[in-house]
Amino acid sequence: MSICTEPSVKTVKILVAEDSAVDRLILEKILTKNGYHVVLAADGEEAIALFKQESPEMVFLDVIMPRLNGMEAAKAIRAHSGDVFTPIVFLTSLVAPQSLAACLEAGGDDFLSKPYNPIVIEAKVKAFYRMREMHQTMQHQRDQIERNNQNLIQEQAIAKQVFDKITDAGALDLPVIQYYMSALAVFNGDVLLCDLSPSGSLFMLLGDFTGHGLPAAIGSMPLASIFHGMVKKGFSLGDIIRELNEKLYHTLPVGLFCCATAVDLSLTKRRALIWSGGLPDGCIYHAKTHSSVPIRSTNLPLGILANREFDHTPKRYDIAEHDRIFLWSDGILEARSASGEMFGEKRLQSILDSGLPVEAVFDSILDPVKRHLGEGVGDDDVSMVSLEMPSAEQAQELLSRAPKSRGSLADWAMELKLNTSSLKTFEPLQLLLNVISEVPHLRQSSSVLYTVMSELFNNAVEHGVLDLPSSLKSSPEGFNEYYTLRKERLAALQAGWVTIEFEHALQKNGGLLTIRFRDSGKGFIQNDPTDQNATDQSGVAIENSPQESKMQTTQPIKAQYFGRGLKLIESLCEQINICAPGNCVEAVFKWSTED
Amino acid sequence: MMMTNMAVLDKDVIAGLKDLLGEGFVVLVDRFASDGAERFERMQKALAANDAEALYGEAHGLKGSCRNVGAMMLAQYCQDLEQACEDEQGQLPQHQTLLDQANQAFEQVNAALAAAR
Repeated sequence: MSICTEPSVKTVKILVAEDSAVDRLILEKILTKNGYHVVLAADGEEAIALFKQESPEMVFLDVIMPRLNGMEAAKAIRAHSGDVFTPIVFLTSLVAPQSLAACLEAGGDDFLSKPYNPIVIEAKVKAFYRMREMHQTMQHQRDQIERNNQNLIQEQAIAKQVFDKITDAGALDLPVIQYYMSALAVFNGDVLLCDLSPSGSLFMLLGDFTGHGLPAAIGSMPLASIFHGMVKKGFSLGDIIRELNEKLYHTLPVGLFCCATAVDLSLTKRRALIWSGGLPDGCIYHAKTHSSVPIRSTNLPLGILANREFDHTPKRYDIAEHDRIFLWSDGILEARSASGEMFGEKRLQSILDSGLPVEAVFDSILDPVKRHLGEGVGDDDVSMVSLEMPSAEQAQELLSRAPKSRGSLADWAMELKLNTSSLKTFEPLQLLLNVISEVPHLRQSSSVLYTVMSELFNNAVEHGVLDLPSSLKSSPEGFNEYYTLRKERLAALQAGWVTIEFEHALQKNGGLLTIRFRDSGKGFIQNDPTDQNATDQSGVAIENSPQESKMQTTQPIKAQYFGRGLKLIESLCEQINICAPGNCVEAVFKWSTED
Repeated sequence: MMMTNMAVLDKDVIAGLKDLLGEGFVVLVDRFASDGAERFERMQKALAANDAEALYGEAHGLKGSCRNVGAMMLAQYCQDLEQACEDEQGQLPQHQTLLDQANQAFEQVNAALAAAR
């Protein structure tokens, strides 16, 4: 048994070019006996023609042939086979070493001396066949790598277009903004976003994702789209930070996070709200005193903590006309000179402490940083931005550019009526909460509103539609009975409904949300004397709702309703109104944009 | 020339060729004769014309074939002819004797090959 496998070797086609008929015959026989397919030529020109026509895998060329000698033929064959490796073996009875070397220099891969030895010939053919296979594999892999690389470059170009569109900084062309960003790779791991809010504020965020290049930049996409979307809708800085943290926490892999500082600069109130997590301390540079106040980072970067552990509360800073907020990524502090020395905090602080006029500070930091970097490549993206508190006049101009209408719910009303079958199967609170969350500032109160609506909905269903007496719940056994009854009555319910109405109106610096629950029950005013001994003296107003013509203001009504657990709601809301005969309750919730 | 004690044909080579070619051995014998005859014709012309390159090519080609059929004596004559061609000052016609000797050896090889078939 042979040790090495010789797979398709036997189908190999070999061109033999030899002018001596005898030698041609012998070589042909040796090769065909071993199973190769042989094509014969008698001179160099014929060899080239046959090579083009038959595309043999291997060529044997006599060196000295009429018309065109072997060396010339070899050159032509090499040129014609291009990328494909075709082994060329010279047939020769030359013995001088120089002559043999000349064969190889002319493009031959080996030579074969006369007289022919069948064993040597077979071994050489096999060796060259393996070499050819290897060469093909290599070339195939090279082509594959080349194709992959082309794809990669193409994909990167497309990704870069999408990336740039999504992470578009927004309103960076505003005259109050000056910035510098330099990326280490095609994709920037630093992100600078800016937008005007309908609330009359200019929002800015400078973020620095861990690492650099594509992995670092990928997080900028959700960051930017949430930032722009929420700022334009008028959400507060805290809400935006919270949402960004939540999104990054859930989407970024462990170890990838975003150091960021976010600013809400009110163009009307002369104050800045700033949240900072993980970026180096920025500063507010006062135009009058030529001195700086640091903006300390007091939070963990975005995307590390779950929202329940996360503090999104910004700090408030007073800021006067022409004061500037300076933010930078650690690429500034860690900028390395050619000799490896970092720019460092000390150098930066000494610039800030040198009493420069405010408008000179930006360049006075950036120029030395650039000089320091010199020819050094740096190892991180470098970003710096300054944001100026504009004069009243400039502020007016900026405000005129802010989005006029809120891209969110403003004045609106809605009614949802749940009929019998829905009451049996549908839990409406999440739906209602989603609607309410479309109002900026109400989102942050969603847990309070959930409590209020859940209480009112249960009252409407249990005491209203199902007519369950709340007195039952005064003992543990009663509780059990209450819930058994609830289940039975709900299952047996033939006709009943609950309507939920929302009315929302914007007010100066805030808004008012009225939530009204109405049910098909008969109310409780004359029909539930058992609750009358409950007492409560809090100021719940019982009055006509716009839809109700009758009103009841007697003390027992309030008392009865409080028996149904409205104390909680009253403490959470601005106002509670109960309309006679008690099957309609409304809670009024007030929100404000004041800091 | 020291070729007298060299065999006209190597018997082992002939045995190997017969084994390899089988009935094709007859063809080989014919080809050797006809190919060789043509080469000697061309060599004679080249010698007369003092064309060293042409004579060298033919002698070299015949030498290869001779080695392949085990005609070592004739191969040696061919090599002598090659060397004659490499002598740059040489006048080829003065090697007419060498060519005649080679031709004689060629006839002997042909006879031996014919006898071997």
